[in-house]
Amino acid sequence: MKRLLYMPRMVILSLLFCSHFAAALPAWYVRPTVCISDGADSLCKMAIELSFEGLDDQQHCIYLDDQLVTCWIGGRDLKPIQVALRQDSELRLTDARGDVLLRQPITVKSRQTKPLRRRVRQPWSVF
Amino acid sequence: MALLCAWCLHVAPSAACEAPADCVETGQWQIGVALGGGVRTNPLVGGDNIPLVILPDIAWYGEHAYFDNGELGYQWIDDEQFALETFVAVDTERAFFSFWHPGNVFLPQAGLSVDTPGIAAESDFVQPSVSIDDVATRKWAFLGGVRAHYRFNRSELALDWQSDVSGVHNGSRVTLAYRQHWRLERWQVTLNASMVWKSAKLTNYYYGIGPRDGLGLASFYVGRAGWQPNLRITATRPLTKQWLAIFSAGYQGLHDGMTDSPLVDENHSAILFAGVGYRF
Repeated sequence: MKRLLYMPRMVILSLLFCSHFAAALPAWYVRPTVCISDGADSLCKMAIELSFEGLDDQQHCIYLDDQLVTCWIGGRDLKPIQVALRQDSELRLTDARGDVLLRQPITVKSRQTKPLRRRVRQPWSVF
Repeated sequence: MALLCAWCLHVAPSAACEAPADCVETGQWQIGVALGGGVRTNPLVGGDNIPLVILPDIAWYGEHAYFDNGELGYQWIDDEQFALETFVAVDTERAFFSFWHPGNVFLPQAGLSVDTPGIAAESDFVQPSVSIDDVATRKWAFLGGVRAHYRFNRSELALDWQSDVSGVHNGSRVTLAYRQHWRLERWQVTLNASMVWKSAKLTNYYYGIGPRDGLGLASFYVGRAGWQPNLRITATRPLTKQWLAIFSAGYQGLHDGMTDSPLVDENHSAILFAGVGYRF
């Protein structure tokens, strides 16, 4: 009987423990994740907006591939970060210990533009 | 010198194709017209300076073929550092014998005519100089050539050889040119420096005087080959998406084989132009 009364309490406690743990898992929203450049050899520039959920009050950092973008303390949203890419890259969110918490691939695509040809004569050089 | 160096600190070399006019999208026409005031001085006796009021700028580049301000060509190689093309272009030497000269309305058009009004009798006197009104008409010629470019940083070296393919003078010319780009605030500045070698046949056709001109032996002259230095600076600044300001100044030195001719009384030709351009 005591066991029967004890079990619901354990279930409730477990549920409370698990829900607390589930709420602590960080998540982020990265927009956009695809960068469109003017040409295959062009640098692709864009501003990436980031918003977060479940971040604690410790230090977190954002890396673009191996390059540090910014670090901050707390779970606040950041201002958009400016990136300039020539190839596919990856955004990484790390914690205070440097462990990677989240990853987001950033893809670079180029428009189908015709290549530019350099003129052999100086413009306006008829005379 | 200090002021020159201070100016150098404010200019930044411009990257290739940063100026829209330097490059053309493949398969597209790049057409512009400049309106302004300017002049190209005429070193010939009796020749009018060429007024520059309306300047066209017409270019089309396909995958390999191109047309660029009077030059039709084919690029065999075109990469970041090296380019090679063959081409046909109008020989602009004829421009000094201005077709706007009122004398052209009255002079016979045939090149070998001797019944030209105003020609002194052979034994009357020796002319120290001869006007272009008094000689046979020089024809326009077409030059065919090959040109190689070497590009480095924001500079370019080019070497070309051109020869008459129209059978007018059977002469040739060689050009060694250097081009440097700068960006100064919103101005795009280009310096062109070159040395042009003109053959004896080319020089003699235009500036030599012989039996074809119907003048006395005392006026006869045989043109010689030589090198001509050229320097030109062009600056453009966009005003709107399609309008731009244009300034251009240049100097062309003439070689002795040409200036010794009785037809020539200046040892240089200068060009100056300022105006606005519109890109269609």
